[in-house]
Amino acid sequence: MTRLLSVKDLRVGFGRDPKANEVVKGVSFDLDAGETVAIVGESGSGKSVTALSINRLVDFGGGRITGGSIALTRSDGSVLDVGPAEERVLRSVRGHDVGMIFQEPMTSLNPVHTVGAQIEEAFRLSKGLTGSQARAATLDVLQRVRIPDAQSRLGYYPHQLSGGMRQRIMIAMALAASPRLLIADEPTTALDVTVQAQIMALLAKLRAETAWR
Amino acid sequence: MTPHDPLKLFAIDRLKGPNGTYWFGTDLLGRDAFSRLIIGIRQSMIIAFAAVGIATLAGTIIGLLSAWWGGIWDGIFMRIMDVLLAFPAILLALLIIAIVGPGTMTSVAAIAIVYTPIFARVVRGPALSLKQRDFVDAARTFGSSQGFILSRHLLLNLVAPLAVQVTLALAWALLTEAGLSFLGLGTQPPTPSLGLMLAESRNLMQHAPWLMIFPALTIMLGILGFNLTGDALRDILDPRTQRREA
Repeated sequence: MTRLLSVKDLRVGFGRDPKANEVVKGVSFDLDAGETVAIVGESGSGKSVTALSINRLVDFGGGRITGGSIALTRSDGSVLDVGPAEERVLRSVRGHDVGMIFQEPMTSLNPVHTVGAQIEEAFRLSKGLTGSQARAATLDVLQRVRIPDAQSRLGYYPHQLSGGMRQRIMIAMALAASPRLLIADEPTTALDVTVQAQIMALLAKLRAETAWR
Repeated sequence: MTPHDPLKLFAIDRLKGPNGTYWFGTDLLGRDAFSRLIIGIRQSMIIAFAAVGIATLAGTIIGLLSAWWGGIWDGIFMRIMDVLLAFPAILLALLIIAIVGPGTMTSVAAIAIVYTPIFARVVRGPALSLKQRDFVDAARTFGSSQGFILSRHLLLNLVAPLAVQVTLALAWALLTEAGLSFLGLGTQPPTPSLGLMLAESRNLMQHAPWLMIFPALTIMLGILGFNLTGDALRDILDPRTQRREA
């Protein structure tokens, strides 16, 4: 099996002196293609920061990688050290190799755009699809995340959908880029128990279907 | 557009009260007040819309970039805005006109500068909170560029507060323009404007009250109209009120 991600002795700090304010202190783990790794810990232990460091989104929250390495195998087979990578390269990594689902599906969808427009936007940015191609791809991905009556949901705004639906939309958006790695930062925290089970089952099914290649 | 030439002097019909020929009467020089009012409204509206348009554009850019860049840029931009806000609007406009000289373009520029800080503040506050929202991070996970996130995700979320602010600013700009023209520093005679007509009618208040009443009523209705539009827009654009109805 190919090694997809290798995190070694990762250290992440915040503030003016990140080395003095380290939140993540020496985390190491490996992930192969088709594999699931769960990071478990109490709140404030640095799970989200570790996750956000993998595509360097942590930079935008004022964090800095202060030590260790994150080796990510990209779709062209090259291995990228994420820590010192330039923002331009990282944008392409985020668009193509690493997808992400956030904790709170209400705030991770833009309230002023329809869900259809937001998924189409993800297709346009990651694969350059436009017009009818993007719409067809959107419809297809909505069916893959088991959204009933997908065609009519395209015109819905986020506030018109339930929490579980919104999280499915987020998963659909993340799938748009066909990422090799999907980071799910507590994707079920904001949902009730039965919906949590549905979302976890959906993720497991999708992983089996795509093997996240 | 106008029943009479607003600049033409009807010497025998000076200071006539409202009648069938001159609907809103004539002024001291025998010019038709109704025709002058129509042209005056156009003049005041052009200045108000142009000034608010420029202020909206400049204020939105400054507020958005302040919030987005943060740190020292936020400090520099917002302190400049604070200095501008510290002056009373009409006083600051007077200062600018005193330096550059009166005229239509100067009025537009002065009113635009006076109201830019208000837009910068209105935009910066929500932009600061929006930039922390998950959907901005989500947009980054698709590889969106900064410009794309700013225009599509931040700016579109600011349309509602901006639209309301624009209507309110139009009301203030109308009043400021009238004030400047009243003081002789805005629109220059013989071009009619609402403020100028009020200034000209000041000494004739007891002999020809119609010369003061109609422009004053027009200013009042204009401001009321803009404010009511603002209220209605807020109700329409606020998703919370929509959801309550739904």
